[in-house]
Amino acid sequence: MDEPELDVEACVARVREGDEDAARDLLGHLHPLVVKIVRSHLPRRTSEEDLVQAVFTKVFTRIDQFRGEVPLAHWVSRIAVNTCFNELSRERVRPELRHADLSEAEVEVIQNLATATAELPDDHAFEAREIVAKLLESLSPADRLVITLLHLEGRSVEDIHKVTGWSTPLVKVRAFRARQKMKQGLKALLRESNP
Amino acid sequence: MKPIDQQLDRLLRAAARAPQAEAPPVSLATEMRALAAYRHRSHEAAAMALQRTWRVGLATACATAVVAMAAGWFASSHIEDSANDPYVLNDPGLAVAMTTGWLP
Repeated sequence: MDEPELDVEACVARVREGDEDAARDLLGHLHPLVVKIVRSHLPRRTSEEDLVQAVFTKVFTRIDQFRGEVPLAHWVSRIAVNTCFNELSRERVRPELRHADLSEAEVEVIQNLATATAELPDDHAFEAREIVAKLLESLSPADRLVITLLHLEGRSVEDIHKVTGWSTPLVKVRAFRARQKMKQGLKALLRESNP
Repeated sequence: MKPIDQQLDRLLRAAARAPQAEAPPVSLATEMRALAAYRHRSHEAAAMALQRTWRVGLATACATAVVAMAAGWFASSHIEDSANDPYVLNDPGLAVAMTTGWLP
């Protein structure tokens, strides 16, 4: 049987009054959203669960600051994205991706990109995601964040402005620069793959 | 559009299509840490409310003391002034008796 839909507004009101059961319900309701965001922006060597816990610690510590002007999911998304961004900023090493770092299946995807013009088949989607993740590792946290939000999560520039607090022109400039850097990385892989 | 742009777009589109694993259920560790943060917030809120009440109480007490001192000072200065005036009735009982015509 499907669980009844949670009345978020009423739940938040109960949470504010100190109802721990409501806090538990809210945690269960928001958990899939937070896990999804954390997975998209997870830095290397950081545990997914640690980051999810850090996000929820912030959410519950600041729940009194939630004014209800935006949906709760947007407010939580903003906290989650910023927590991931801060965690990414702590990474000092940004390794360049080399052809030797790719698995056999990933090399196949690169060769497909070099030789064909059609869309990559769905069974290559996982490898494509891995290659993108590896390319993103060499970018700065801001560049990485903007590419993930724009291309992998399919968010609009306006949406990114709301989530990150960056101005719309800044989002566009960062996206352009990040794309240029990704192109350089991909170009190097394609060159190594088809010398 | 340059070939490298098309190649990058194809790669990004394919990556966006990659299925994501289902979110696991909330682990006990996550629940405990989140609820600990929540309880800490509740205690903090209660402490802040108590502190606010204490401040309001202190401010009210100070204001009452100032008003009482001002009233005392005003009354004493009024009595001193009226002591020199032979027509002023300083005894409240006598004043009531004179105005109402009632004498015990």
